Amino acid sequence: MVPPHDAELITRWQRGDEAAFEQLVRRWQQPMARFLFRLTGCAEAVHDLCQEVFLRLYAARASYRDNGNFSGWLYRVALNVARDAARRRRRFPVSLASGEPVDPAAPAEAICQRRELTRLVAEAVAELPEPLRVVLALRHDEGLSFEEIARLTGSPASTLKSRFAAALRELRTRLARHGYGPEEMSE
Amino acid sequence: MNCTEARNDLIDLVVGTLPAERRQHLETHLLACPCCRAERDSLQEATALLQAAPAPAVQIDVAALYREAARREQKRLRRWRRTALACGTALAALLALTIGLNLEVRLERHQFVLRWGAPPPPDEPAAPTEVRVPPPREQPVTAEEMERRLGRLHELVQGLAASVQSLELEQRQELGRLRAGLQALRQQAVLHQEMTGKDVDALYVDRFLDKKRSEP
Repeated sequence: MVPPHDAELITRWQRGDEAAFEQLVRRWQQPMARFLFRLTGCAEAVHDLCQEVFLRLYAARASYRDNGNFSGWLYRVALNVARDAARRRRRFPVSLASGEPVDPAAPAEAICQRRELTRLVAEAVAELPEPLRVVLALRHDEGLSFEEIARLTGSPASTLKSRFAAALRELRTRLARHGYGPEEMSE
Repeated sequence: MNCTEARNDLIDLVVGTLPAERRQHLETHLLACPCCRAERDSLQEATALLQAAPAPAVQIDVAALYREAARREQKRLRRWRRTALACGTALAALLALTIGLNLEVRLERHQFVLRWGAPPPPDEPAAPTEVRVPPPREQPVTAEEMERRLGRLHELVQGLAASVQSLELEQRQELGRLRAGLQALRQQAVLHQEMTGKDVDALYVDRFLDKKRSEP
């Protein structure tokens, strides 16, 4: 069975079908979590920020008008939520707890190394300028094309491409300062 | 393919959207260009690092979401009610003040007027102030000063009398000249009258007496 489109779910929800809203939440909760995690670099705050995104969606029930770009609208809401959070706290403290489920069979040292790497990557991404963070999250994590990101952010696709490359280079440089290179990755 | 084109294609290569034909050209260039190769490795390492740090899994509790939405809606309504109540109270207080104190708020040019109670009576025109000129203060005059002033006054009177005498003399002389002139005119008139009488007599004799004598 083909899953219903976002537009169809929204129409059903606006007509009073609460199950359609729940389906939207389930569909978009993880993409929102990834996006917000890249923007904020704080694993512990991601859940609350995700909830805020869906609360704003819920509040827009009557006013939302679908134009075939629900994902773009939701990412913009998430971006605003992340900006509001950044204003409240100038910078989120990076949590050591990544929220990942721990494999009990894995050696303790490997778990620690993985957590440390997660922390450093999250910290390095969070320190990037916001335009670089946004394009990095949307292209790398969400798989949006540069043209789709251009429609979402209003910047030209060529600019976004350059920003993406700059973000990766900057990230690589920052992590290399902490001793993370290809050798550590292959371990 | 030059390095600029290669750098542009490297992004597409890393994200996996580079077409096969361009990929072939890029790989050929990378074999010959260590700089672009290093750039590719750097981008791929960064991508791998990002994949090594995944976002935490999130499970939104939709029921809690509904509760939170309801709580916010109630909070928003309470805030609205409080704001409306505060505005209404302030409005009522202002109205009571306006009526009770006969409050008048007026914005005029260069001034903001806030007045309560009955308006003040119009200002009466101010009475003209009498300017009292203080009497000249008489200072005591010394005897020498008095003497000097009298001397000056005497000189003035003398000068005035001399001037009057001079004028009278001039008038008398003028009057004398006028009398002499008048006398001369009288004498000329008498003389002229006598001569005219003689001329009339001679004419009469010549016209009438001489004619009688010649008649037989």
